[in-house]
Amino acid sequence: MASAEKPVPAITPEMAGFFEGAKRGQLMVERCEGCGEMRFPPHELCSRCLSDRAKWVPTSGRGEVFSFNVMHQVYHPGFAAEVPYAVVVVRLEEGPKFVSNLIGVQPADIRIGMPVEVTFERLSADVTVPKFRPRSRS
Amino acid sequence: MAGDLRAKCAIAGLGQTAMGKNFDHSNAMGFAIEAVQLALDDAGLKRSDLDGLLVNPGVTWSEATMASFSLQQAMGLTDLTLTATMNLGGATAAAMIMHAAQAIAAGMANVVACVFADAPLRPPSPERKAGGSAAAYGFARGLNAHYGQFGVNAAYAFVAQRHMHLYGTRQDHLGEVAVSQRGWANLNPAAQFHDAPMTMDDYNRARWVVEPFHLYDCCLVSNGGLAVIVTSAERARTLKHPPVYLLGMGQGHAGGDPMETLTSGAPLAKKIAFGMAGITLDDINFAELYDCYTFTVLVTLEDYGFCKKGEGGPFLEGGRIGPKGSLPVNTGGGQLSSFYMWGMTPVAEAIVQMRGEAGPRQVPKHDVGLVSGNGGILSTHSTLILGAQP
Repeated sequence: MASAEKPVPAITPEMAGFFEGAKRGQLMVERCEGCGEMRFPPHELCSRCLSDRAKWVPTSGRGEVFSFNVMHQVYHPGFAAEVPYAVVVVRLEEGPKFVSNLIGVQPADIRIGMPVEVTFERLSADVTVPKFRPRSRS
Repeated sequence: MAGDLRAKCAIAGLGQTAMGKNFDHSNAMGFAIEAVQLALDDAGLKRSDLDGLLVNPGVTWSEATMASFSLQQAMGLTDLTLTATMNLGGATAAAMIMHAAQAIAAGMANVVACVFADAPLRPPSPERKAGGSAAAYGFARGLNAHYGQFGVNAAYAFVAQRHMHLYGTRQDHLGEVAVSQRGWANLNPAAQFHDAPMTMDDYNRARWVVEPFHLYDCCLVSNGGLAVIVTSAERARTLKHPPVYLLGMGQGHAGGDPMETLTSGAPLAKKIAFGMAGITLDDINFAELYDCYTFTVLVTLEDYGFCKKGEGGPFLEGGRIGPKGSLPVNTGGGQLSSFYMWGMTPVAEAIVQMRGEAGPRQVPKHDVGLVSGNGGILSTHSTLILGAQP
């Protein structure tokens, strides 16, 4: 149980563009081709203009901590050695919010509004996931 | 005109099974049947008097898509003219009562049972061991699972954290809700935490579930069933108990991202319900507010206007909503300290208070009561204004 791995996300068809970008070191979101709205996670339709046309576009990867929690319960054995650990919501400069982890910051030191930038963690040949780390405000 | 429904209908029966670690039935349907029978007895009605059946299935109904029909068949009910399986999460109970009242006022039904039941708890069994292999965690897919973001507690925590950041709401403010409601539960023999007093120190010492939520910021888990009987005000006056009149009803589902809005649908629902009832906040004697988390109560108090947006924390200080406070809220202990039957928990307590049957926890003035239901993460909202007089 102690050696259990964290769940590895499956590359579903609707997320393929996201994971291709992550492999290249780009944090992708969907941009609606109808009205330009940026969104994540992906949707079939734009909730603003209802267009069904969208494509994956890279973001700056920069944003700030919008909210966070600190998980104390073990919901999956892959996290047994990590509790308590923080999960953050990052609001990207482009607008969309992204649930992730913050690297190199203790949960007690996380603050809403902290400037962060994306970094990538390679889990396998196919799957690379974005995480975030603090950045200096610029 | 919304006002047309004011006091046209009333709640005439309340049926509540034992709550919590109750294993009298092996499934939710069993609790639902018991609750409907108790509600009919309470009203002095027979099964054959029912012509409407609305069901809010909890998470464990096996055939939840047509739960109301399953229940109709299981109870041998015939010739119904109204039925529906409804789900607005925690806002469903009050919404079912509204739907029943609308149908009755329109002459499309006469006596409607509104039911919630669930059976998530299993009897302890020596064969079942705790934990399990990673392969058993089939739910853990997608990115959120990789980051360790699991369940509603964790998502609600994001919203609470935003409120704390923007408005300076403190942990003790959430604790005020937990401690106040525990005080009420200690006066309620039916409450799961009836025999367990709790101080602010106890609250703070309890383990974290997910910061900023301690164990006692989160609602209970309960087996049980709860049903109410809705009928016309005229008919209700001929039955066993004094009618609990439906003075006002409304819903509000604001949409958007709760982390941004930090607001429930209460302002929308309030406008309709208070307008129908012809009352203002000053007329409310007590409030039974949906409380999946302490934080939900704090936000709901703000959204009904008991205090300004962002001032819910300071408003709660000094035990204001507890048994010795000036605004009685969740007077049975609520879902945090009494039992978790989704929106039926606040509805049931309001009926008991309106009837003056609350014993040691009876509020002195109980002419007008406010009930709220809230589903998802501040996603759906329903309001009832109950009256002891039409």
